[in-house]
Amino acid sequence: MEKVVSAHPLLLYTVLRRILSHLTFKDILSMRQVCSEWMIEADHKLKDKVSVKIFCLDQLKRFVNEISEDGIYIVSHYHIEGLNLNRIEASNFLNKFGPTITSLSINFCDWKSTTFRISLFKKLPNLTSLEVSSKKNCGQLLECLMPMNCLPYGSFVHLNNMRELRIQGDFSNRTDLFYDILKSSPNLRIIHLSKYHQDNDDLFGTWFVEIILSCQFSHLSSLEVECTLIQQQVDLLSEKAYPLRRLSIDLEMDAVDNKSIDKILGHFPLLESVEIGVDNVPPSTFRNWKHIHSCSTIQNGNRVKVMFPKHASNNNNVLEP
Amino acid sequence: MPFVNLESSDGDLVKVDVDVIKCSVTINALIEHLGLEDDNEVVPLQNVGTETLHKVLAWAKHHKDDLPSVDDDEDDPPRERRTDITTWDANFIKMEQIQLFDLILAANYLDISGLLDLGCKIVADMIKGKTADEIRTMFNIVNDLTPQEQEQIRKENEWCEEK
Repeated sequence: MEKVVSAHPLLLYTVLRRILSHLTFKDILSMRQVCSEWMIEADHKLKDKVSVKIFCLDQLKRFVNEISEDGIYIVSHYHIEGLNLNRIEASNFLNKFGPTITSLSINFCDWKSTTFRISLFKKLPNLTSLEVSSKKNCGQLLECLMPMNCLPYGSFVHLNNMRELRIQGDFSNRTDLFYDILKSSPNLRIIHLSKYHQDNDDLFGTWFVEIILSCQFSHLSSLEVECTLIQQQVDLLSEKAYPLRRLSIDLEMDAVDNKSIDKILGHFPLLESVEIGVDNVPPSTFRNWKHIHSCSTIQNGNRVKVMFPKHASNNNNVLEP
Repeated sequence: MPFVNLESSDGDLVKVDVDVIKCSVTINALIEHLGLEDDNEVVPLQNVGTETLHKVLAWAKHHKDDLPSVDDDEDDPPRERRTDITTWDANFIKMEQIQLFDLILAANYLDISGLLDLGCKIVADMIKGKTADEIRTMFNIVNDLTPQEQEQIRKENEWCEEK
């Protein structure tokens, strides 16, 4: 029998992938530098698992200088924190890498609505996930409300790729921007709004929910808004055809009764997880309610979180698009 | 058909209990496709030398009664894969690098998931904490990246963090 000449076993992709599954992130990065075969397999493993974090303008400038225009293939998420995004360095960054960015977190940055809107609608065409956190007191520090949609005529585009919008904080002075984002992102699957617990003013949240309820999101599977919905908003929500699988909202006590809950649970048949928060109500209030899975007191006893059947807090993965 | 004759790439015949070698997807498929019905028929294994074949059979015999592996997805994260090596396996896998590579190639060709995973785990342990230069030297891998590509990857790696 003729003997077959063996290939180097560590160049076979089936072998490399098994080896990779036993290595840490740092070791896989080292593997990228061994040879082109290893780089391909390491990149295959790292894709969607790598983030670049930038915390100062010097870092931003260095990144723009060091990395080629194609960006870093394996990086799917950029995290930018504490920067003044109105600076030319930020503009250079977005001009160069904008098309490669699919997931972006902007935390505690200074930015003008105009700058941000142009970045979002013009320079980030492939963005699927946006997370924005505000400075706690940004309402006092930042600009006044800008007019709606200040992009040049004809340049307004739909953010059809946007799947996930997560907001933390009070953006009362940026309602125009979030109005435009929500109105132009028809394919959102996840909407999440949380606030800092010391913020008692729910005006932004109430407004935010109002805008959500005025839109039709055909694919919305997860809606989590940490603000108190009024009865009319609950009624509006119950009329929406969202394919919700996860719902977390806060309700006024007047809006919380068996009938309302029945209405919500009955209207969204795909729901797997429902959490409803109510302020200043003793847990005993819910003792005789139907459907309740569990009921817990949070935030120094002032708040009750009620979870309804099929609560699946461990099943967040089912929400991923 | 309790036995099958395996022919190594060196031309040697090794008679083996079919029950022992059922862990090999390739041999099972060959038996089925060749339509082998009696104990005297031969399954040719062009990619496996006699010495390696004996090692594979020793491993297969020891693991004959193991439950079929359900964790057979190489894309699984490390924490979800088996990382423990039994004392028997640890002793079994103590061999020169060239023999280890032959064993990995054989396990890959014969499609024996458990044995391939054991070999790959050993290689992964050898890689841990090493630089690219050290890895290339250790495994005699040719660097086909240009200096510019290497520099670019090095710079990229400095920015990459686990998501």
